[in-house]
Amino acid sequence: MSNKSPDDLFEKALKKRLHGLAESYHTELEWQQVQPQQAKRTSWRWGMGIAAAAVLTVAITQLNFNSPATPVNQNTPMLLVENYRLDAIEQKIQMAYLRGVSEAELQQLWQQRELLLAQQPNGRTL
Amino acid sequence: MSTNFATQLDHSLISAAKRGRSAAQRVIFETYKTPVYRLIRGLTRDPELAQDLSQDAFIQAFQKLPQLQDHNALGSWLKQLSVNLTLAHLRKPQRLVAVDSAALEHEELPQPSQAAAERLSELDDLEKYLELLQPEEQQIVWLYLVEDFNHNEIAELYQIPAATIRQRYHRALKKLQQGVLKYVE
Repeated sequence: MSNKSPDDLFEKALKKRLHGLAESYHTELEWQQVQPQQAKRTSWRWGMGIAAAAVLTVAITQLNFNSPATPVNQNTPMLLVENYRLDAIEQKIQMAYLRGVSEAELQQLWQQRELLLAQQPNGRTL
Repeated sequence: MSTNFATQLDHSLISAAKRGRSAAQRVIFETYKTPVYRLIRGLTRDPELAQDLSQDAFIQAFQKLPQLQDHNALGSWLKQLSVNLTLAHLRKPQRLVAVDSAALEHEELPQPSQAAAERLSELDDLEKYLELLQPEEQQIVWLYLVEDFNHNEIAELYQIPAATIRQRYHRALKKLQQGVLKYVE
């Protein structure tokens, strides 16, 4: 932000030590903690949405309380495989951005991702 | 020499992140998470708080990213956002810590800076040594010496005259010079 040159010996020594200190700092913060759709520090709007969803879930549970039991979704394990494939394609996309590949190649990767998303019953979204 | 906010990212990646593309946002996160954390850690001197505020900084950054006009300024924009968020948090009443450093301030002027500089290089626990300063003084020193803000820019952040910042900065240096000579003894 500025070009200053500390002429004082102590100031220079302090600057050097503080830079060394900064370089010793490492964070354990993970992408999952800041991902917009998964971040735990959510706004009140998200809070309202979650509350509404909870109310709806309770209401549906109450309505179905006396209905015959439905079998467990046999496709559930497959979702894990799909999620894995989705993660893999997302990694590919990131690497593609870092490598600076062409717009066409990026587009193709995004399309593959869209296709996988469409195959997911629960429709994981960005 | 700053904490690496200068890294430039591809414009198409930033555009994708602005459109909410998760993979592109992740590249931004991975690129800047260390500089953001180091900046906030330097200002707060508290690892856990720095972790929480870094998280907040990225959540806020992704919410506000569509407002970013100049893609070349992503790093400095993120740096400014992190500083503002941290200072806003530290200004909350519960974060204000009163430190009695009056005794140090009224002591004799330090010996020549060469002796202090030599002692400083021998110092083991730098974190503990920085506690000689009041939190605001620590922040000013960190912003000036590590993050390369100048006195005018720091003055804008604190909304006080630049002359006051300059004065506080030099007072902080004086305290540290006095402190290091006593500290190593």
